[in-house]
Amino acid sequence: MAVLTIPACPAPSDEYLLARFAKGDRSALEELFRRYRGLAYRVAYRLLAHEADALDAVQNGFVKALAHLDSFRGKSSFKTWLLRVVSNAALDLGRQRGRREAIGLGAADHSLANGSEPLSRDDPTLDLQRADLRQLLDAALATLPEAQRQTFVLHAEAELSYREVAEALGISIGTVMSRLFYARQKLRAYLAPRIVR
Amino acid sequence: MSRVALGPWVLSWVTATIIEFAVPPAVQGQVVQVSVVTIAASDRHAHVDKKLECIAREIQKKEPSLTGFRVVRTECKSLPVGTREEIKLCEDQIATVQIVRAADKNNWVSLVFKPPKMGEVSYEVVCGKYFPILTRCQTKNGERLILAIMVRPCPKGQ
Amino acid sequence: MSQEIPDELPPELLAAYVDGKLDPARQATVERWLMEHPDVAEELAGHHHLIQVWRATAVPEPSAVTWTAVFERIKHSLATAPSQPGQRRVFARLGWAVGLAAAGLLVALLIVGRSAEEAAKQLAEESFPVAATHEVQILGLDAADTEALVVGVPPSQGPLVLATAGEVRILSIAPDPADQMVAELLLAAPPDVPMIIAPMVPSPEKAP
Repeated sequence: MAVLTIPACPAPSDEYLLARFAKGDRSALEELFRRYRGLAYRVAYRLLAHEADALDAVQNGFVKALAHLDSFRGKSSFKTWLLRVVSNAALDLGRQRGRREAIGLGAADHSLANGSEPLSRDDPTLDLQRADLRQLLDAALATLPEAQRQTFVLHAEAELSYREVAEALGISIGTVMSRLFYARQKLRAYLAPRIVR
Repeated sequence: MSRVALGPWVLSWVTATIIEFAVPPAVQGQVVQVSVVTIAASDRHAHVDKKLECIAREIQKKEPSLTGFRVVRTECKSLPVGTREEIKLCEDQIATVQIVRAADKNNWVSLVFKPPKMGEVSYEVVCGKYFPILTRCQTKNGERLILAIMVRPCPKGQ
Repeated sequence: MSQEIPDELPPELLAAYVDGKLDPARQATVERWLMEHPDVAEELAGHHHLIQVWRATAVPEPSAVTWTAVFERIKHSLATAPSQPGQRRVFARLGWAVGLAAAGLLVALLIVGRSAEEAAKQLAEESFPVAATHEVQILGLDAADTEALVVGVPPSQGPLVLATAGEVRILSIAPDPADQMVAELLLAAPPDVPMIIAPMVPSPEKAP
């Protein structure tokens, strides 16, 4: 009897799911949504710093991406293309609604203005202060120009490579890298007085 | 792993009777697409069609002597709820399928499927996933037939 | 890269250094350069710390209920979105095509008034239009005949994704009318998949 080693069952590829979706298969849509909703949300949230707005951006992004599949075909991976659409939808929403202040941000800055100790990396209560830390990051991101913010979030949150970010945004890899440097520089300048190492 | 052998014949007769008269008029006219992939499994070679790697792995756990798997035929039919249709398999073998209930809000479809040389199987399954049945039918070459059945709702307007 | 230490390094190189994307030679060059430029070294250390802070502040995931609601809205929006060429459903197009063809034929016969002979002659002189791949749906095909397809794709493409244990509910399995053989349902713990197996040799205890 032959011994046969068969690899683990492969998950359907994005291309396969898109083809099934194009034929009206609702389960393919569900699988695509389940596969990328978390990542899309995290990108949108970082750009908008508001849960409800981020969910709207995810919804708008998915609808736009799937209703215009013809403009996608083969130019990049579906993931890269989807994140481009979602991040653009988030930026559009941010412009329409005015990028909201993060909840409690005013309180965090106010406490610092009163001379409270900055958050310390070695502070044993850091876990409890993660929400404040995230709000500080949100405020710092808001100081970046849109192009730098989008580039930074796609690389840092979505963990897209330089090449993928370049494909998503239609820019050169060199531009991606320089935007990352300057974005980090600005973020550090904003955060340095507020976070002690 | 548990093995379940179901029901005396009377249970299946009662189930079939209920199915026959239980389709509410409201759902008649709904259509479900049924895809049946006929697969031939052999113990004489070890080539596995790439599309069948997943099913081959699962079948091998139960029947390790089957080492080679190939697709013989794929048949798709759009069936209105309630009607019984024949599905061509291979070498004049046919199966019949009847949709009992179209996709509900959770995407489950209820159907009755009768493979050759077997009794009817009544089951519910989510749309878009294949459910395999290893039959005792054999081709002229001695390959054993596996049927993989998948259902999904028809596009709107049908 | 040259062994000389340059006066300045471009931001692209510094970003790649922070991300650990440089090959060993370039990385060594940058590190030598940073030893001569402690202010930039401190800047880049700040960039490293920023990345750590970023990773420490993960965005909280919405609840399953929230995702369900978002998905429902997406489905609704897609269902009411204007039809795109890539999403046209074959059957809906076929229905429209048949309707339009019938109307067109009626108009042609009533208004244009060509004789059947003239129409047949014209048809014979025109090349046959061929359906495009997206205009054909293959419903049944022997695998051996796949190569014969000129347009259209076989009914089943890609790997067969099997239903897992939570995605199938067996209601009943009737015995074979010929010999009363009853197939068995094998239920395995996840991630295995359930399947029905008809034994080649019926178990003696199952015979009526």
